[in-house]
Amino acid sequence: MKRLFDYLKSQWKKILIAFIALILVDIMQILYPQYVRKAINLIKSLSTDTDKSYWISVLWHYAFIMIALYLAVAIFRLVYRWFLRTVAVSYDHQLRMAIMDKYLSFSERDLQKFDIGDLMSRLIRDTRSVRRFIMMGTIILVDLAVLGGMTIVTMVSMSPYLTLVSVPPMIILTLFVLWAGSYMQKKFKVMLELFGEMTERVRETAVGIKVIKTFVREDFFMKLFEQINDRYIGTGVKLFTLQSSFWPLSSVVVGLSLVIVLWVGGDMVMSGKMDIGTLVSFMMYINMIAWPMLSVGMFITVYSMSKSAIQRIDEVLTYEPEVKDTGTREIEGVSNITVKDIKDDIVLKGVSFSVSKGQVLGITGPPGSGKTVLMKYLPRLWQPGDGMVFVNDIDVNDIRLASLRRHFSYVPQDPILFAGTVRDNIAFARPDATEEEIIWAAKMACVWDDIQALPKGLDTVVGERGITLSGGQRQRVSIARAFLAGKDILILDDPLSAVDTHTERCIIKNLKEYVAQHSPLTIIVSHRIPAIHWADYVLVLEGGKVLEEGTPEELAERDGLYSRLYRYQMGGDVE
Amino acid sequence: MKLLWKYVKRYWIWAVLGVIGMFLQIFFKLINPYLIRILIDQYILKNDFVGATRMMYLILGFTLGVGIPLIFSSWAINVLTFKVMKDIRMDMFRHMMRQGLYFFSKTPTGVIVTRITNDVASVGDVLAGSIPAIVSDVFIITGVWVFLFLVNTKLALIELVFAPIIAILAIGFGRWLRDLYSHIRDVRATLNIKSQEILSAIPIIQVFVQVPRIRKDYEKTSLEYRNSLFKAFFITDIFNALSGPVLKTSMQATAIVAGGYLILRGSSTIGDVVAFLTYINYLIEPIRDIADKYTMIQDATSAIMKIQRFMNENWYIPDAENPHTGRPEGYIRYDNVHFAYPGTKKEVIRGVSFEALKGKKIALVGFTGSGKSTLLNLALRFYDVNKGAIYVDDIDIRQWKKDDLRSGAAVVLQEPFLFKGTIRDNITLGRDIPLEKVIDAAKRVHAHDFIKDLPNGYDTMVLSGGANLSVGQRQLISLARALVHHPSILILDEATASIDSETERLIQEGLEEVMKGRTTLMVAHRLSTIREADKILVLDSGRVVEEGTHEELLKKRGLYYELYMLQWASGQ
Ligand SMILES: Nc1ncnc2c1ncn2[C@@H]1O[C@H](COP(=O)(O)OP(=O)(O)OP(=O)(O)O)[C@@H](O)[C@H]1O
Ligand SMILES: Nc1ncnc2c1ncn2[C@@H]1O[C@H](COP(=O)(O)OP(=O)(O)OP(=O)(O)O)[C@@H](O)[C@H]1O
Ligand SMILES: [Mg+2]
Ligand SMILES: [Mg+2]
Repeated sequence: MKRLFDYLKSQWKKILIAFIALILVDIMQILYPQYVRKAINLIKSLSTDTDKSYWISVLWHYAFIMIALYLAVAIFRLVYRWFLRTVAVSYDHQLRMAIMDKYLSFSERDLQKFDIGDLMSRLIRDTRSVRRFIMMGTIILVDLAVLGGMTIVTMVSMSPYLTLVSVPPMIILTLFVLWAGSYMQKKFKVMLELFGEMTERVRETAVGIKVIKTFVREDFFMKLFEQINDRYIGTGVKLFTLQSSFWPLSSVVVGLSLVIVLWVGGDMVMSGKMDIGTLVSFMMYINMIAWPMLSVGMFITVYSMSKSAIQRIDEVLTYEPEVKDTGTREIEGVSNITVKDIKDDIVLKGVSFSVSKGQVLGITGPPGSGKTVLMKYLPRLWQPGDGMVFVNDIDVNDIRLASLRRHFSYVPQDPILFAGTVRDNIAFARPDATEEEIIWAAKMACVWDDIQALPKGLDTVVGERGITLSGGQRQRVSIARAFLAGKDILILDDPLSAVDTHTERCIIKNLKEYVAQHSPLTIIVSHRIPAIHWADYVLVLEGGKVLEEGTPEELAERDGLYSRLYRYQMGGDVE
Repeated sequence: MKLLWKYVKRYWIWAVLGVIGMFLQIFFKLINPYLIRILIDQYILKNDFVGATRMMYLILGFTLGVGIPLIFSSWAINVLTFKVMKDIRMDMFRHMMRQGLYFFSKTPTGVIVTRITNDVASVGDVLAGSIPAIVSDVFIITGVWVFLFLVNTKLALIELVFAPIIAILAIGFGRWLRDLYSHIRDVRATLNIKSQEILSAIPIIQVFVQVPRIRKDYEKTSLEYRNSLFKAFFITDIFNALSGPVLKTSMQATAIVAGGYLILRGSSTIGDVVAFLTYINYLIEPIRDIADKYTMIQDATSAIMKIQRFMNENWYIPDAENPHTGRPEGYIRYDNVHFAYPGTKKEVIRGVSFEALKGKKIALVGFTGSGKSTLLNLALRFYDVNKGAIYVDDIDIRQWKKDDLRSGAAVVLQEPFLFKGTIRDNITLGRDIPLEKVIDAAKRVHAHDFIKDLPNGYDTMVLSGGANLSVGQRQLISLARALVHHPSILILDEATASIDSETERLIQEGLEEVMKGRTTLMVAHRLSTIREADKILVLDSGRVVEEGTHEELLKKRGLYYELYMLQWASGQ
């Protein structure tokens, strides 16, 4: 909300021009019935008047003034709309980019607090509500003040008594509007939430369809979807019945005012206290004052919709992302990473290690032991506590985020692929990479043969999340992406889980070559002993703690988890 | 539109009630100026107090009376709309779930979601908003002209000059605006697709420092959206400023001048002129937000077309005429199976034959991408084979009732998927299975150890996709899920790929017992897990190149031997 006001303040020139134009429009609208009044009185006096040609010329005169007034109304209306639109539509864009910037600073854990579908709707649907609010809100407020105020003044000057009696229904209207507004706002919020829930249900069902089909649970998911739909109907019918009858219903109240004016005013005309022209123009004013009154109703509808939207936008804009880019130090090149007694409230209970450039650290441990979580802290994908993670002996929290991350090549455990071509995916970190470089990376990840066998080679579109590739192919495309990025720090999280032994050896061989040539700082997380047995140092994690550590040879000798794993996998019980 | 009609027809009574309500409401509204005219001419100007009062009551009655048909029709229309929306959504949802997997690999999730949620919402907007508005506009426009002629034929004839202008404005301008707004819709769709993609890949974007590039790309689209909005708004404004006010005053000024002439000739009254002024106000209303209506209708037409196309998607794997029902025993036979994924030409399975006797354990090994997962998918009829056949209990699976075939099998997919919900729900998938059985299954696969340590045990909430569990933990849960459903066929696609060898061994023991009496098809890259298999098939580029027990294959000194030796050879 505050953000909106700040923005509006910065645009005050445009808004001022718009307001002036709007006020001019209102003034001319108020003048209009005066000419109608004069014209009607003129017509009435006609029967007794004798100078017809004079009369006709005056009537034409009035008619021209009326048309001229409204031409001016049209022009000034165009002017204020133009300026307000500029303000509103530009804000729309700015707001959207601000939200997007925020999202881009979210960590995975921040994102998990929301649904993706819901975050998307904040970018587009909610910003649209705010845009409408700026347009409608300003017009309505000014109209209410200027048109409403001036109309009442004019009406009072014409007949104070008549003004007084015609007001009560308007008060009823205002009360009604206030009640309906707050009711609608509540219901709107429920509707938005239900809609979000429905969206998420469809999304999840589509993504998990294979599980649903294998276990033949279609009926169950159908039932879940129907339940949401039924709740949606329940709230929707009530809300929209009120919303769509709200506007016309308000005009019933206006009608009531008109009847009162007619009743009392008719009396006055009959008893000669008022002329018929005044009565007719008075009725026009009632219509006119009804407009700002009604628009209070409209304002409330728009407001109740946009209030939920503004709240939702504010929620993300004021959301404090876990990872804040407050560090200022720069790093050139990486000489070492040190982790000192890292703890968190999820799984880690004090892990320490240190790796230098050119070294390879291997990490293994049972599922859920915290390997992936640990890796996410290093490039600050998740936020580590102060004094826990150091690069070049500098606390990562003191390093500018981009300067830190610039040094990482990361192969995540879930290979995240984009719905583009294989080429786009491999070259993601280096869009300027040449064809040779891409092929080199694909060969390094031992996926080049597979790519060549694809229908269009590198230009094959892989579908959402890389769905048309096999599990192992997906994993290796993600490895190729990291090779091509070629940074100082190489992190591989379980990179060999989906490949066969032959391919596994191929990747390990290339990796060794790569390390020998480029001597990056390498960390490999794996359940596969061959993937880590060549490391300089190995950590075995369990339950967020280091269970064993040492060189792989030492660990293989020592009696422990590592040596058992080693025996299971490399025991060589062939003959 | 035919599609819409199909659904509206079901609730025609509500539609009829809605239209009747609307008609009454407009009639009440339009009769008032007519009565006011009588009031002015016959009573006020003639100083007839008694008659005036009587007339006033009538006017009051009609004024207040508008409310009843109004609320009534709005209610009826909304009931109709929401029922129709629900029906469409349910049909689409069911239709989606019936599609074969090919549909899901070629249709982005964002598109499916948009069709079922947003597109149906646009149809709802039109059903509850634009269509009633148009019907009411037609009632108002015809009604006003009828009353104008009733009030004063001559004056009405003069005003008739403006009728073509109204028509031209309404139709001509609307068409133009429509094109502008359809462009906006396209840009908005692009914006949506981009944000969905960005949001699902944030960690990767961040760690590879691509934030500025991605942002710039998004900004370009957002700017295009802004510019096209601006253009469309500007033109709408010009239209609105010109049409409404100018047309209105011209008509009112005409009423006054022409009325004056007619009064002079004695063929009109002041009441007539006043009534005309009011009716002209009503007449202008329908064209005031014509642009909105056009765009909404346009939105809906294109939404309906998209929904229709969605409903026409037909990637079903149909059941046979009189399908074989019952529970499969578990005798599986592949007979010279050939298969290429729909939309591609290259066969990824090229003539595979083998059989799995009831209760036996068959293992598939081979290079990555050699077609192992594909081969397993075929057994459950996720796709139909192109050539050859697969038999279960000696019946071609195309003759089986699909649901029965699948119910008899349980699968652990290569990529485990968990739904948002509790751990327990994820294991039972909504089936009524007692907790003891769930725990028993979890114990067998060694998932119980970590589940019991979670804050709420089996009632701990899992995020969509299992985001708050480690990959290995997800795999354990999907293993438990498969066991708890007591299949006669068990299909494991690298079910322990993300699990350490020690836990794997423990699971193996737990599974041995479960696998007794069940036919098991399993894929594994780690040969240690499959040594006990009754038969091992070695797959290479979609062909079975070797087949036999572990010992037999080792003796052959072929590909299996090679892989096996490689695995045991030290990593150095
Ligand atoms: N986003 C999250 N929110 C809450 N808890 C989480 C989240 N991600 C992981 N955890 C928990 O942290 C623990 C460690 O998970 P992690 O993914 O680091 O395991 P891992 O060692 O990588 O296991 P695996 O070998 O299966 O990949 C698990 O118990 C998991 O439930
Ligand atoms: N949905 C799909 N559409 C088109 N092609 C596909 C699809 N799924 C897989 N493929 C292709 O079919 C081939 C075999 O894939 P499959 O998943 O069966 O391999 P796999 O043996 O299971 O490999 P992995 O060990 O890596 O899981 C691959 O070349 C892959 O690119
Ligand atoms: Mg992990
Ligand atoms: Mg596979």
